[in-house]
Formats: sequence, structure tokens, C-alpha cells
Amino acid sequence: MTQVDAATRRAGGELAAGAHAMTPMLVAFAPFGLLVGAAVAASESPAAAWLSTWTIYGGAAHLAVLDVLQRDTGVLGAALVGLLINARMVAYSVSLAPYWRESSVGSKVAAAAVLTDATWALAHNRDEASARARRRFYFGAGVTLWFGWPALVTLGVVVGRWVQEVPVAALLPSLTLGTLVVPQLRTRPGLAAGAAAATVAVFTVSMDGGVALALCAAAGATAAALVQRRTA
Amino acid sequence: MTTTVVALLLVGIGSVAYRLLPLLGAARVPEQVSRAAGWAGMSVITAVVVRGVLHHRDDSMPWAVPVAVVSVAVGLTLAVRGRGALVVLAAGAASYLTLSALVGLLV
Repeated sequence: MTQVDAATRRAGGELAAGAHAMTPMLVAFAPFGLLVGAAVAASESPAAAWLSTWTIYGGAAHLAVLDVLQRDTGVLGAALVGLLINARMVAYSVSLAPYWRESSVGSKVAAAAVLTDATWALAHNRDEASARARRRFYFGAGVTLWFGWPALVTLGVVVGRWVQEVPVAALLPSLTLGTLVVPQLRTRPGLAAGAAAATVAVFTVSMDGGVALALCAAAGATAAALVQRRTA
Repeated sequence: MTTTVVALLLVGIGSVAYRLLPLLGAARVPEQVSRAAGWAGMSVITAVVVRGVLHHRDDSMPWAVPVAVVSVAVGLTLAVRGRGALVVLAAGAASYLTLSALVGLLV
């Protein structure tokens, strides 16, 4: 085997590993995707709501915007809710930045297009990998979700209503996202961040989602930084 | 209809900017800021999990939130022990169905 063959095989291996890691996530996100699809179908403009699947690319924000629009809150109110909920993407993108420093603009645009909770968390948990390997893994996972999530939403447009009558389905996204957080809790700063964020989440549960999530992010990042400084 | 399209466009453009701008400026993002953003991202996902459980609704039974808390705790305990996502999901869902049936019998 030549060196080029070996490198190609390694690249394919990382892409496949990313796709493989994302597959169970897709299964778990299925009920949520179907719920978003049901909301798209009930929207005043189903075509625009469906096309937003790729631009908003976050089920919680997508669902919240469509829900707010149903209640006649107006353009700015609905947009603000969606933008607040999706503000976490800034944190994800900033944390990925070191691995994309040497990449082309096209690669950065592609990385941004597929960035969301599960893709970020899977790549973030892959600490042992080099920057290049991590980017390939990220694209394997990201592209899988980029095709899978809109497929689920599209299916939900047709059959999403039944999911609302199965309450256990609403718990599956929490379980799935929980599995992504668990590996980070094995470090002391990670545990501090998780504990602080969970505590703030309990106390802010009645608040608007976007503001509450921003508070949790600030609390978690501060707690992790303090613990890291103390242990350094 | 116009309201819906404009609102979705605004959120879509904003969301793309959130994802893209930090990556385009990747060379200028200091390592410490990137690390703090990683903790912030993980904290947000933790908060989404907690809020998802505490906002859980099931009109078919009382105590839906405590049942959801226990079920997710069962699933995530398995995750801590290294089980895969599908096992975690199956255990969490099975716990929820079992507990909701028990609550239905008791109340």
C-alpha cells in the first residue's frame, strides 16, 4: 500500500467514524424531527418554514419561531426568540475555531453549514484526534445529520401529528443530548460546568429559553474556568 | 404569510452568521476564548437537557415531571457506565413507560 493509499483510507475511516457516531443520534432525534415537521405543516407558509430547516438548522429554535408566529406576536418577537435560542451556535463555532485555522474558506463555510448541537458535541468529545482527523470526523457526522434532519422534518410534515400523542417521544432528545454531555463530566472543569449549568437551569426554568440558556452558558463557563485555574 | 417569511428569513440569516463568522475569523480567536466557548457550549447542552425534562408534559398521568426525571437519570447512569446512545434511549424510554404504568395503577 502506498502512503497516498494509507492516507486516503485514514481519511475515509474518520469520515465513516463520524457518520457512524451520528447514526444513533439521528434515530433518537426522529420524534423531535417529526414534531418540527408537524409544526412546519401547520405554519402559515409551509414552504418557507420547510426551507428554513437548512438555515435555522436547530429544532428548538425552529419550533419556537413557528410557535410564536402562530400566536401573532409579530416579526421581531418571533425573530428574537429564534435568534436567542440559536445564540449557542456562536459558542460552538468559537470553540471549533482552533481546528479550522489552517483550512480554506470553503471548508469553513461547509463546517458552519453543518454545525449544530450533536455535530459539535461529537467532535468536541473526540479529544485524542489531530485537527485534521477531527475535521474529517466532524464532516462525517455533520453531513449525515445535514441530510438526515431535513429528511425527518419532511417526513414529519406528512406524519408528524401522531408523535404529539406519544409523550415518551418528547424525552428522547433530552436523553440523546445527555449522552453527549456525559464524557465531558469526567474532567473536573467539565463536572463544574455541568453542575453550575444544571443548577442555573433549574432556577431559570420558568424564564424564556434564550435568556435562560445564556445564563447557564455563562455560569458553566465561569465555574469551569475557576476550577481549571485552581487545579492548574 | 409575509410575517412568517420575514421572521424565518431573519432567524435563518442570523443563525448562519452565528455559525460562520467565528469560523471565518478562526485565526484571531485566542485559545483561552475557544476553551471557554467549549465549556459554554457544553453548559448550554446540559441546560437544554434539564429544561427538556422539567418542561415535560404528559396529560395522561400525574407526576409526569418526577417520572421524567427518574427515567432520564436511569438512562444517563448507563451513559456514565459507557453504554451507547441507543441503549441509553431504550432504558430511559422503558423506565418512563414502566413508571407511568405504575403511577397509573397507584393513583
